[in-house]
Amino acid sequence: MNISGLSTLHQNLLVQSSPVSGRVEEKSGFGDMLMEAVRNVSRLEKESDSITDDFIAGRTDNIHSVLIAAEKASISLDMVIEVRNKVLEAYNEIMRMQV
Amino acid sequence: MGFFSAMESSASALTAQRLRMDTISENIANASTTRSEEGTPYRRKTVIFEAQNGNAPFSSYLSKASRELFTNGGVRVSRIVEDQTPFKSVYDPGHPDADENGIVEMPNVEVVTEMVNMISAARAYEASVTAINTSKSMASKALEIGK
Amino acid sequence: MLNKLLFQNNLIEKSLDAAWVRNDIISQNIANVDTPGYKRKEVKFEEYLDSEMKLSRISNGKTRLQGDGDIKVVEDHESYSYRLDGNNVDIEREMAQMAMNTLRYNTLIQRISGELNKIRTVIRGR
Repeated sequence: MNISGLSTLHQNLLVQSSPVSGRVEEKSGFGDMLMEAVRNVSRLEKESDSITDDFIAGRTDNIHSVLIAAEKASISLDMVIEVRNKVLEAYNEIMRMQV
Repeated sequence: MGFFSAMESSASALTAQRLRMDTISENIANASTTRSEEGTPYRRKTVIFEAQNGNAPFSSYLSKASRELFTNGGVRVSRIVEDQTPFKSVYDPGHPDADENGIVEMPNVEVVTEMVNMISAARAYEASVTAINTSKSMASKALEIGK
Repeated sequence: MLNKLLFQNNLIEKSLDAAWVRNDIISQNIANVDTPGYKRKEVKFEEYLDSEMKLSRISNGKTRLQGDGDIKVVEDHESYSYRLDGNNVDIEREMAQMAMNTLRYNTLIQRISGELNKIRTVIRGR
């Protein structure tokens, strides 16, 4: 997943929803994105745990691998949290709109 | 577990090695002393090291209650003994302490041996200093958890 | 709920304990480099942990390790001694061990710090 700002997310969203018309498709496109992000977090966390286990048990002494894996997991978690925050903000803003 | 016992072990080593160094200095200074308090030539002194708590039974390491035992190790000087090797006999008729044959008894100090021991003591001292610095840096790193 | 979260890292904490004890033991070995008859001591933790992990699938966050019995201090009677006084402490090896142990300790500190910060981030939501 490309970690380079929400503008990229927005572009992806539009690209995904353009072949098919309708608001339902748009919503599921974004939902898929979020689900994929969450799955990413889970996967990176598992990898980080596995490498940490290896380090603790003395099977490897690659310090950099351990720390890089941990940072990746942490960054992806931060990403999900930020996306969630932005979605909430967007939702609140929409709800504030006078129709 | 004792928190600073690592530093205490290293500190005990510093003290012990410094005492050894003092003994060596005394030996070198008195390498030509033919008349000491007892009337004999100077006798070389050595230190005997002993591990503190080094005699704890092995099984005690495994039980939780006596955990404190193995973390209190260190070293101390148990005794300073005089070296009993015979004095060196040197032919020097002009010396005030020469006997009727012109033989003077010189101290049993070999300066070269003392120099080697001095280097060894210095090296052990430096190693313990490094150990103390390492313990300190590890503890400092631990203080950064959560920052 | 918070308890469960905070105790996820028990394995890392145990490993930190072992590294700290190892530092202690190495300091003792260095202090006794000139003691006649002294046999060097070492800390065995990772080997036991490795076999435990393979048997019962302990892993970080899955099982809590009980008690302090996993960290064992053993006397090493097998290292060859080049010395007449029966002392088998090799000071170069001890210094190298100390360096490796410090790196291991620092790495684990980084990891646990990261884990705790992550929990805090999730709680705060930013």
